[in-house]
Amino acid sequence: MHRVVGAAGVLGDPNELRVYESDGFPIARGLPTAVVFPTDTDQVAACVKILSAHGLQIVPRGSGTGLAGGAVVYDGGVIISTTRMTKIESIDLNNRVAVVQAGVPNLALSDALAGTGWHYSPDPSSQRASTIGGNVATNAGGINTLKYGVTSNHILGIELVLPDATVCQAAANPLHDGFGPDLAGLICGSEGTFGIITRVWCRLVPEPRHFRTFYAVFDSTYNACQTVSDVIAAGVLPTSMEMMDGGMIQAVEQAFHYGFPTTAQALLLLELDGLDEVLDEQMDQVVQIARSNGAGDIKQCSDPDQRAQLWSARKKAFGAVGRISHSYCTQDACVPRSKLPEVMEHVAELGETFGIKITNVFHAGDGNIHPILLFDEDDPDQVQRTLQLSEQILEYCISIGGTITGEHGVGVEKLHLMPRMFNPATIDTFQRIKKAFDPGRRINDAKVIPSDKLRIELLKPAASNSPGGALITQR
Amino acid sequence: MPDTTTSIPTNQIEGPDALADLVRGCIADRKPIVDYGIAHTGLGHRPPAEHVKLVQRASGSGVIEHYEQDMTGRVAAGATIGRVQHALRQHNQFLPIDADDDITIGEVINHNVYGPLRVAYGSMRDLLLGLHYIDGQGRDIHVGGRTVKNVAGYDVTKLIVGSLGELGIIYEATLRTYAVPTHILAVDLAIDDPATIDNALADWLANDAAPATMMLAYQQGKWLIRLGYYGRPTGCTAQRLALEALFDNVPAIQITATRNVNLEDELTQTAADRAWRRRSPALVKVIVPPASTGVVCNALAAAVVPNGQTLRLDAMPVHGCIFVGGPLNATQTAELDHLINQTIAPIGGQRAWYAKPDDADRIEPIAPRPAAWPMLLKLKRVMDPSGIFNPNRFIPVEDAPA
Repeated sequence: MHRVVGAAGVLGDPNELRVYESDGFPIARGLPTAVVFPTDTDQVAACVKILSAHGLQIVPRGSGTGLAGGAVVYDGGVIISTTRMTKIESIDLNNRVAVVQAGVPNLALSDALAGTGWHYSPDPSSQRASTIGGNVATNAGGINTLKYGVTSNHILGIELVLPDATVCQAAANPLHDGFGPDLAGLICGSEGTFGIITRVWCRLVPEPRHFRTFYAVFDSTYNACQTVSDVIAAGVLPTSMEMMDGGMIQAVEQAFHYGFPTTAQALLLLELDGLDEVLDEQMDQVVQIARSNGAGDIKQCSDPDQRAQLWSARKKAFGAVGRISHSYCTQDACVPRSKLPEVMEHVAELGETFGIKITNVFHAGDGNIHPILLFDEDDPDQVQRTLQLSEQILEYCISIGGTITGEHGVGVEKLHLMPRMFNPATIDTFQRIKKAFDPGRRINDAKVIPSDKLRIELLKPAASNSPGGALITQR
Repeated sequence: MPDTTTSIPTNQIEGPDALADLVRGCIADRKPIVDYGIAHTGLGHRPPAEHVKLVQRASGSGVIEHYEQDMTGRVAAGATIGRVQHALRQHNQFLPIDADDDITIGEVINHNVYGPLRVAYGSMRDLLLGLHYIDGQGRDIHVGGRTVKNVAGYDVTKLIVGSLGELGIIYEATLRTYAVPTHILAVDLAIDDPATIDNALADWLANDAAPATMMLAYQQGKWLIRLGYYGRPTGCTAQRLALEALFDNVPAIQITATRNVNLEDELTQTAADRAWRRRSPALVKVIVPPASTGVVCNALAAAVVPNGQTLRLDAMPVHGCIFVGGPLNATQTAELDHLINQTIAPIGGQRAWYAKPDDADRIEPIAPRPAAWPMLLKLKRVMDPSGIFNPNRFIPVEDAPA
């Protein structure tokens, strides 16, 4: 490895490796044997060749902001980190495509495009840190996805290094179409289980120039959710429609002092973009819908600084949760948008049944809920109830036509729920597809699809405090 | 097992289990199942002599469930676009796909059919949320779902879009729907040289004059751009003014007509504009980097057809998609193919023949092959291990699974 990436490109000191034992899902942990930092595709291929020859598990990792344990190592595997692959190789505004190395942070591309009138639309909350390769691997969402779609809607091509060290280029060109199966579409969201993404062709879109940003305050979560459902049904397509419940409003207000009314039970944050000439009409329509659902205060944020501050507060909301609970577990599910009001009511009822406090901040316009379960990590009983409650929430979402994950991915966290989402033939199809890319099961194996290799025991008391966390390897 | 010559309409198959039985029967008898659709029969090499021909049909409108409030719906693969649009229109919604009324949802998915509406609404790759299909082992596979975001499992829905029916038989799809636009302003532009668009397009799309639809057409030696502005009347007026300002000092681009239309008129006009393609004995689709669309259009329009006929051509410059065709014989088809290949090779394009004369069989249907061809072959092998679906369509028999 030293010969390939230089001594500075390999970490082997156990103390340094601790940083890499988990991603944003700390319940599952595993210490890698080493972490390597290649700087280009050739180096990645050379690393893969060496590691495969030694029969080692290879785990690709961006900046480790994943929330489902997709970048956790087991069985002494080796991490290939893309964080030193940070070149923006080309920006072609005429063809509306940027070619970037996988380790380019999401926001760095938009920064590089500043002033051109164009941008890269996917905007996960982690965009300052998370890499575009990682976003592609997880098909990351974000706040603007309601109008502009998720990562896979903005990817034209992908290059990845396969387990046999060959390089696969899926639509790796500036074309906006192609013939035959959409391989790049399949790779997007495969959570690093097919190979190591090394280069991405990103579709660029015009940067919106006119906005109407406002928030509406409600005395019940139900009414706020009904507003979301009614706005969608009216055919209005805001850029974003985000919601915070009462607990979250208080946490965010304590942290950022934005001036939100702390007695409110729900706050709906909306943004419309488009032609300046029609935005007021559209906003009036949305405001009318909100009022008909009992909205109280409706405040417009016309000042650009105020708008930026508002969105910053939203994106940092998860950080504010630490102020109200030492430990918390963020769930991620997606439901049909018309069912949001009843879903939020049922989630609250489940919280009461299990004696666990829940607060919510989520992408309401997409029906993508993020109940945040607040608990005490040192109390084994609370840990167990929290994990049971998580499962109940997801089971309920499946039962009403929803999915176990809208944007965080399956990783290891939701492996056990996959058979409840998909029939055995479909799971087998996933396994066959994985095998087509990785017949030797070398790259991030046992993630996304249930297997005989790995399982997660989330109901293990105080799982996060035991070696390996809740991750159980099986041989 | 049905005769070689028997066509089987899918609405005569009693549900997914019976469809799966049919597939398993064909696997056992080593009889390929061919589902080419009705508007794409010429794409690919000839199907094997012995095969079962599947004809997608749906009972009624084919809309199984319309989740009106969610702006989504479950649709039978055999539902025709015309019937689906009619059913959705009752709820003031529509499926933003430009496809002829008699084309089925399954065909649209298999061939990733799109048109000028893609500018504002995306293509099937953006609209499709979930799929039910029978795989190459005769199993019922359900991927995706009915939510607008979903990252559980691999995104097989995306893989299947454009797969030319090589990976499975789709029998149901869940799709996004959109509200019917309240107002549409159609604008025609006359343009001297389509290459002008190549340089202007990026600025145009980032301007208030960015349209919801755009189509470039070459008719009787003249170039025409049809635009659609969708939205509220005030917005459409503002966009027209922005368009006038954008091209105010560009004599090569002139606004020749503007008219207020409804969605029905707009879709009818688009269908009429592309009607020549289905009548054309030779038709090829060319994909190029968007900023090269005009230059390539020029090169192809200049192609001389000896019998005095002119080629027809239309293009979607925003996505670098060009259709060219005409009453060509095999020799002329080969000459046009040569010209296309020469033109697109330096800029990295691709082309596929949708129709060609019977004796032009030696022309490779799709070229150049995608760089990821070896991986596509592996996926064909795992998803259709017997190689039963549409052999020769995209993957030649010699490359297909044994």
